[in-house]
Amino acid sequence: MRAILRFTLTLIAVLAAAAPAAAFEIQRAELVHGSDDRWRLSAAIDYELPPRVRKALDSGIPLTVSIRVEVHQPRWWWWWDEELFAVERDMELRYQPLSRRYRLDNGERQRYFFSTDSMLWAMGRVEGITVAEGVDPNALAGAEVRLRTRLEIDKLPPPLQTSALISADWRIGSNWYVWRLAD
Amino acid sequence: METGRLDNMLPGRRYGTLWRILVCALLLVALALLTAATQDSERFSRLYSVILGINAAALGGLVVATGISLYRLFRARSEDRPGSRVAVRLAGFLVLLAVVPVLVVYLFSMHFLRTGIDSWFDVQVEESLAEALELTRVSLSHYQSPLKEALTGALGRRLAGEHLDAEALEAIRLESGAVSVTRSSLAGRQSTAGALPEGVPPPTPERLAELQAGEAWTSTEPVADGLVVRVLVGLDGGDAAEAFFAIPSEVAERAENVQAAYTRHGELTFLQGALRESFTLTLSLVLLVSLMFAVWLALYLAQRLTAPVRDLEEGTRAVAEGEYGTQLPTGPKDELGGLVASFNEMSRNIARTRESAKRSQAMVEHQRARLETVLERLSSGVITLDAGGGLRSANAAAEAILQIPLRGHMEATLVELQELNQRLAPFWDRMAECRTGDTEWREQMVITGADGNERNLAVSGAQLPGISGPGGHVVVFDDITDLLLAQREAAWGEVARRLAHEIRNPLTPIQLAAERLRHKLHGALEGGNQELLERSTDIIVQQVEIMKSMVNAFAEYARAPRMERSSVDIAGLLEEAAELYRHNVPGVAFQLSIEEPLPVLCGDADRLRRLLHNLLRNASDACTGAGGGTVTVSARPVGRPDRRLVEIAVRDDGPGFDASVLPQAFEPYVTTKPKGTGLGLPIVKKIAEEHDGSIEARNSATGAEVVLRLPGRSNPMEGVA
Repeated sequence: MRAILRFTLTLIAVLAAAAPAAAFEIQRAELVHGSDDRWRLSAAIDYELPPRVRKALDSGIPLTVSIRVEVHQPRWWWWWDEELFAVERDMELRYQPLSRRYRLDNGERQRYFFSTDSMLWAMGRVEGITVAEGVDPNALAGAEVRLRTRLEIDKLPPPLQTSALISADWRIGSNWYVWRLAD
Repeated sequence: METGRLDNMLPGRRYGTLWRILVCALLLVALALLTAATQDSERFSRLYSVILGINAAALGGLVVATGISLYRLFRARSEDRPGSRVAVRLAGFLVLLAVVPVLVVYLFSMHFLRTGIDSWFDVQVEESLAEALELTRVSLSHYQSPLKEALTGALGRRLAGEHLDAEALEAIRLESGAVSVTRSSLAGRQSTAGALPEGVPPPTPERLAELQAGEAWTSTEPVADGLVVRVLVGLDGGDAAEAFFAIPSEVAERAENVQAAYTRHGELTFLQGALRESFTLTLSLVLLVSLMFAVWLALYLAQRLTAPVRDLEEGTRAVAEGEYGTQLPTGPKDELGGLVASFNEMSRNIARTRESAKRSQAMVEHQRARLETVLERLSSGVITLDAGGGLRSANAAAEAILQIPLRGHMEATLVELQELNQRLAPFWDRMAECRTGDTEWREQMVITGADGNERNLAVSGAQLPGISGPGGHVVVFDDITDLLLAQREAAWGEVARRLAHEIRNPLTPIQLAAERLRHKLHGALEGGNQELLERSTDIIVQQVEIMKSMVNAFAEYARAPRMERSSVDIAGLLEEAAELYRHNVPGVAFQLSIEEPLPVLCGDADRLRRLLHNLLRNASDACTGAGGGTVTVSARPVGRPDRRLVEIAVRDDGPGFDASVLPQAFEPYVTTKPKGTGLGLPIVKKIAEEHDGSIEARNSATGAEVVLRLPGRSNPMEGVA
């Protein structure tokens, strides 16, 4: 019965506070149009994990951190802007007890680190994530780019999702970092 | 109507069941998903929150639905609607039946959940897993030393002042059997022979700084496809040679398995609290959803099962209130359904019976109305009496003949009727006698009319058929006074005709014989005889004359004459007659008053003249007999516009009619005059009747009065033409 009560309260809390507590901070970000006609994201992000989450990672629970980039073309004559494209990239963090290494898997390649901090630092240096390919630069002129990164609660083990719904420790993410491309 | 409303409820019920089954299926799916998600199933774990939300929403929906059902049930109960008591009790039983076992199962499940989850985290298991991991590490390190020696050996043979270029590195790699050999400095990896495993971090600067020349350091490094061994060997000048060696797949796989088990256990240990919480939450949610669904279904089933009872009660009420033919929706083919079917049939039968009763009643009413109309139009009086002798019905003719308002005294007994009007006492007496006597009787009786005249009635009676035993009496009577009179008149006419015929024949010979006798014997006799002869023959001739005139009068009366109808100016006739008498009768004054305009009559002028003469002569005779007086003749128009009458009244101030004569004043040979033939008034009456008129004789304050009414012609123009 207590669980039900807590669940209900949490639902209310989740609805009330949709924005996660800001434990990740984006320092700098830009979209670079490469010579191969690819738009790449380059960013510097400060990742920091609360002790409880670090403990979970060390206990062998994999964490997923997502980076989402949305490019909008503002429309003055409509309520919503036109979304040109949106890309979301997941990174999986995992501890491997046998070799005592931390593994960072961005879906394309795995990197191994000796410590959590070095892994987080490496995570923060975002270079060369392809956001779009073959998009005319003129179409993106003056577009608004939004960047956000956060810990994905949905990808936690289900039991933890329940407590993640309840505890603010697990709602980790950055605010939207917004900038405009040059005209 | 009521039937329609009940019928319309049927499809709703069927869909209600269907959609409840659908809801049940959906809930089961949602709960199954929730369970799958809770158990860390790959497919659903991502949707865990969503599924939890769906289930919570379902729970909310069920709570609302149950609340509504409960509210309806209790409102029906508080309003004491049909079938609500049974429904409440049934719902109570069903809810109890559902709640108790589920709660028991819940409590036990809760207990097992807690103890079960705790039992996973055995300290021994944890320790042995840690040991296993350590053992793997040790075994891997054992595996590392020959590799280390192989690399240092290969390096040692090559290091004699030789620059470690790519060629040399490749040679070392081949000699030592490494996957790759790299020369690393503090600035990073310089050159590599072979394929460098991806993702392995370069040696840390600290590590490189620590490493003395010739010294070796080994480690096991994870890579995408398993494990590799890294051997670092210090070179001169702070550089290092970094070589990667593949680990046999059987070793690597087992090491991976141990690591996976250790990780899994570590994960579970970390999740212990969260697991218990989420299992409890899931279980509670499942329980609540099932419970609410069970309660909801129980309420629905209670209503569904008691629906026939409710319908029956409603139907019974409807029938009791007079809504015959009420049809209930037929339910399932069980005992209740059979009851409903029986009710429907009963209701139909009642309606049918009632309909036919109504029809026959209407028919009876109709017959009755017809009978009444016929009775009203009947010229015979009809009276019915009930078995107790009370008056049941009387028609208009009965009232007219008896001249009393019978219909104001319905239900009155014969005795009461007798007291009501003494005049008719003999009539009621006789009826009472006859009623108790024969079943059918017929007789003639005389009653006294309201005007004191005697009336002859032909009365017949019969017993009416009753439901059990005698059922009252019907009495039919006709006023046959006029009929008797007419018969008498006809008889007189016959007498007069025969008399005239028989007497007239010998009269002329008698007269001739007497005249001849006088003529022959004139002068042959002397003295007294002559005188006797003269006187006797005179008497004979004179009397024969009288007899002749009398015979003529009889003939006149008896003759069935032909009417010569034409327009008659009755005023002119009156004036003419009055003028004649005014000059010829000494001692009697004639007064004539005519109220113009009199309607024109259609009749025989000669006869009407004769009628007037007769009346005036009677009146003047009466006056002369009394030693003089006045005869008043008045004429005036009376009657309705569509049936105009002339009323002629002849009054005298003589002695009036003798009381004994008055009732038969218009019958032949009724006379008080010494010289009368007794045919004056009968002829008057006959002429009046030939003209469709009426005549009436009575005594006024001063003397006799005869009132004659003659109808005017219906269309005055006809007469002119």
